[in-house]
Amino acid sequence: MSARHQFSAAAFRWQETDGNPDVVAGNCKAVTNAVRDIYAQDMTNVIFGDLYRRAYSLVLHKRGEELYSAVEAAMASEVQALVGSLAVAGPSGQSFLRELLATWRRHTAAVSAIRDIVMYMDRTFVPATGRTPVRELGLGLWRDGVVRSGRIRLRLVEAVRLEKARQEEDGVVGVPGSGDLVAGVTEMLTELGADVCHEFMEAPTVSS
Amino acid sequence: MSVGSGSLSGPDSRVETISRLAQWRIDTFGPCSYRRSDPFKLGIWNWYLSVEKSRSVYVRLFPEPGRLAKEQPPHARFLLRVSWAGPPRRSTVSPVIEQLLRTSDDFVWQVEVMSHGRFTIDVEFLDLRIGTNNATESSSSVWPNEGVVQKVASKSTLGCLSRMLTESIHADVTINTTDGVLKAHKSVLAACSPVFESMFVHDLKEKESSTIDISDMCVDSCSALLGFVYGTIRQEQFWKHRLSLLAAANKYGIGDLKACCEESLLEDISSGNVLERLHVAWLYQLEKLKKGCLTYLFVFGKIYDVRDEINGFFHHADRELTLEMFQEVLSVWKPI
Repeated sequence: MSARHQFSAAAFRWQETDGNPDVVAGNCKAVTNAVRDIYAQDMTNVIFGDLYRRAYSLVLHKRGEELYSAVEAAMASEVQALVGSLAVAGPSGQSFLRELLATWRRHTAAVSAIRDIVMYMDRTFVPATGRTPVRELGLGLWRDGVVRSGRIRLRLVEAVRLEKARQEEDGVVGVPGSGDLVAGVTEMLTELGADVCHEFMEAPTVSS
Repeated sequence: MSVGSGSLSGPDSRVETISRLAQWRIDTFGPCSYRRSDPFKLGIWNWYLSVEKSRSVYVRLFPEPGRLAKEQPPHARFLLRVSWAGPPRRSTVSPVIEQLLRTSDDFVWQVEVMSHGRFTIDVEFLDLRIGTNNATESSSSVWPNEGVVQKVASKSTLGCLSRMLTESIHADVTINTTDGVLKAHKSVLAACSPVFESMFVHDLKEKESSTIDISDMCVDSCSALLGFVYGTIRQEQFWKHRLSLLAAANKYGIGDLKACCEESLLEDISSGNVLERLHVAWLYQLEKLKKGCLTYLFVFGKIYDVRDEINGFFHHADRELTLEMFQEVLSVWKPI
């Protein structure tokens, strides 16, 4: 009999630990702090094993909803901050494109690390509830929050047009590899969706 | 084995074999113009050679008639050579022949007589497979040593992995459990679990520190986990740590181990553990185990044996699980 009571106590011990509201909030906070640190490229405090365990525990004990919302919000706010820093990037077309591509690479690296930390959420909670997987979430934030945003969109189209014209003048035709900004932008836009690439590359010169 | 009968068989009817080569030396034809060899074994079949001498020499090669030749006929790639001792020594070689051999009618090779007296027939098998009636089906090889190399390689690899773990050969990661430290290899862990793989990919702390903190496992359970990963786990060790291994398999995404644990937990459900198993099944989405527990409780009526604990269980258990249990009750409930 005592053995059976031990079971009840042991099986539900998590309700006092991992299921405790303070612990849940603490775990969510740790993950969102990590999202911030990863975007800031400040990795000294980011311990993968610890964060994975916290995210795993949240999802295992049916707190996937809270974790998902927290991660989504944290990523959105980081992307907003990136847009802000891009808005002040140099006025010239070339340096703007260069800055945009560097920021894009930073964003994709961050999304990849975040996705791995919340891997269990992506594997169980996301398909079970029909949410958007983290990678697609990251692409969507960049597509709608950055390239299509009012502040970036027109500058991007204009910068690409200028760069293309400059290449034609110089007779340099789309040399692949480093330094080819237009190719980099095309690659980025393609990853965001075939329609997105079309939208920007085929766009007529903005004059209105 | 002596199959040859009467005048067909002589003292020189024996076919000697080595490796894939069969050789029959015929000293004399005697009074007959037809000779058949003693059977000789190559691959899984007993074979015969026969020679018929008229103006030319007709050589036949065929498997011993019977069930084996019918059901698993040999598909052979081979060449023949007939040599007369001479002098002068002369010989003639057939082209490479590839065909299905069922009976003595399937293959005959005609050779011009080049000399008289003693001669030798060589059969060199280049490949030998079990033929199929269906041309598209791939035939299987019969050389007894084929497939052995994979077995030896698997066994040897397991031995190497086992040594890597037990002797910590070039171990490059330290695992801190609740009550002890273990050494392992990043590459091996990464190959078996997507979580460990990610752990060492990004420029996060572990990549530099090469230390993993597993704060929810004791050193014995974690040894069992490494035992599974490195192939050294013993049955009793698995048995003892099943629940911890299941938790770890779920956490680290090791599908094979998770399936093993579920199968094992299904094998010994009792009224003493059924509620615990049900909870575990729900927590780790083990549909088979959950179904097993619900059937045990409601279809086999063991719910009456756990009456004392069920209240406590419902008090703590998740609503989702309680609902599923209720639906199971409804499905077996037969109101009068």
